[in-house]
Amino acid sequence: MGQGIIEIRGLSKTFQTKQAEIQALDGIDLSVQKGDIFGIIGMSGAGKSTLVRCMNMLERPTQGTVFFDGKDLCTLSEPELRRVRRSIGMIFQQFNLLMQRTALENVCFPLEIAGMHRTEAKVKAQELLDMVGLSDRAASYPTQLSGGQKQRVAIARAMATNPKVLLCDEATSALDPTTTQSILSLLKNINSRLGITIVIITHEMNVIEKICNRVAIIDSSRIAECGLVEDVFTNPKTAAARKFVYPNAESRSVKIGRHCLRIVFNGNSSDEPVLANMILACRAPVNILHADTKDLNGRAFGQMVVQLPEEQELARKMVNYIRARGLTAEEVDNYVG
Amino acid sequence: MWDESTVLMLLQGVGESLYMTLMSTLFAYIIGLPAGIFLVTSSKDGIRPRPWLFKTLDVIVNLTRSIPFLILLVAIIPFTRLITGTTIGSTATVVPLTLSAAPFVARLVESSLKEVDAGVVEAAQSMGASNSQIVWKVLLPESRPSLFIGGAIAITTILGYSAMAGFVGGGGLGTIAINYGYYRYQNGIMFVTVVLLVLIVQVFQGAGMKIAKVLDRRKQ
Repeated sequence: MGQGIIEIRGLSKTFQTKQAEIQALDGIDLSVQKGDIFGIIGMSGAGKSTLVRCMNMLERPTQGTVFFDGKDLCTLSEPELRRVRRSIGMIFQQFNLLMQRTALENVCFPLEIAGMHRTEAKVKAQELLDMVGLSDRAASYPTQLSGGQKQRVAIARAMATNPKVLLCDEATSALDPTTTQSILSLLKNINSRLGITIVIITHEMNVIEKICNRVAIIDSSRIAECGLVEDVFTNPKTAAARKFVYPNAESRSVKIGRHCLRIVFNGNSSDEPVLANMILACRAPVNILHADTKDLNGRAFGQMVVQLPEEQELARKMVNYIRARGLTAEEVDNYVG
Repeated sequence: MWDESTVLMLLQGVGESLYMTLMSTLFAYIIGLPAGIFLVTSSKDGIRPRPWLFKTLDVIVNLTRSIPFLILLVAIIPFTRLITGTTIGSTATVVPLTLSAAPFVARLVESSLKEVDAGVVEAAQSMGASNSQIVWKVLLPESRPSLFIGGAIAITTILGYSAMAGFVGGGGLGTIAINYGYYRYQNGIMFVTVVLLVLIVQVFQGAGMKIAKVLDRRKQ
């Protein structure tokens, strides 16, 4: 057993329907470390929502174990499990607020559940609404709030019991891009200021890019790839990962270059205009066939594919130039982009 | 026709009808509310699935709902006598009214509670809420407006049934309508009882809807 706050070992989940058995998760191993913002990305139906529900036993795994903070959740009794769940906050795509309670009363809810006195709970809830920037909407009912405000109330509610982990199930999928950014900033803030580990389920790559430090790509019930966001972004090893990192690459499949060079940027040469310098040094132009670079925490990541000149000598010179600059360069024949 | 004794009789009729209706509604909810709650919590996708409990309740509710009220009323006369010591009058009518309305109330409660979004229940579970906390703090408060609308439907339906009991001496406006309108051909008095019944239904229906609307925080 590792030291991760969430350790998942050999987890499988099958759903029994009248027609057939549906395998939602298959042999998942995952380790979330304290302080991580851990992203789990996958297409809809890949099993990611089931996976996050296994982390607080809203879904019981068919096989395998889930350790939270050293405790095997599968073996806990109902009351013990309820106590552990207070250390695992959760927010949802549809916010799931109580419609008949005000924002303040919604935040009070988990405190009442935990047995805190009403007046004490109200003071704490007001502090939490301050934290998410909604102190002036305490008396509003959910229908009077916008989507972003509702998610802020939900975040305040999830934080009420001082959890160690916050699980986010497609928390920004129902929000517009601007609101998404502000919710992500709030989550990042909670992570860095309060040291709360965050697990984010999403199908949007930009959510991962914006705040996650680690990512797992889940594809047809299995983890396809898992690692630091920079590593997976610069060097996606599996088809599933490439689909998310270069979403447009798969759609076109026309052969557009014969002798090509794939240059991978991994963050350490973002200030230098490498390609322009190479062209100046070799005194020959190259055709850029594909370029997809991203800014991750202030460093450039991504890849570029250029068509090399026909002349062998010149092509070799260019490859050597790129490699001498510390970049990964790989010669590709018959590049389809 | 409008002498003092007739007016007094009609007033007494209104009083008896209200007494039967309100008592039966109260007892029907004492039985039907928990039954409705268990129908929801013990169902397949409920918070505590118990197939045998669900099946039992479901069958009992369907069976009792399918017995026509007048037949039930006659069939359980021994039971009514056991409980109230009599088989005529408004107190005796409360027994069959309650038994007939309870399964109806259970279904009304069931459908109200099922309107609560499953996501909200899931959120409560994720916060460590126990099943009884989910019932008392989520299911019932969240479906409060719908429960009051159901209450208005229950009360007006029970009032209609109580009038039916007039045929067998059940008391209230129903008995007056049958004694005067049916046996004595005094259509005037029957007409007045009908108007009074309509008014009572209007009042209860209106009050129920009003309470539901005032309590609902979703559209403000």
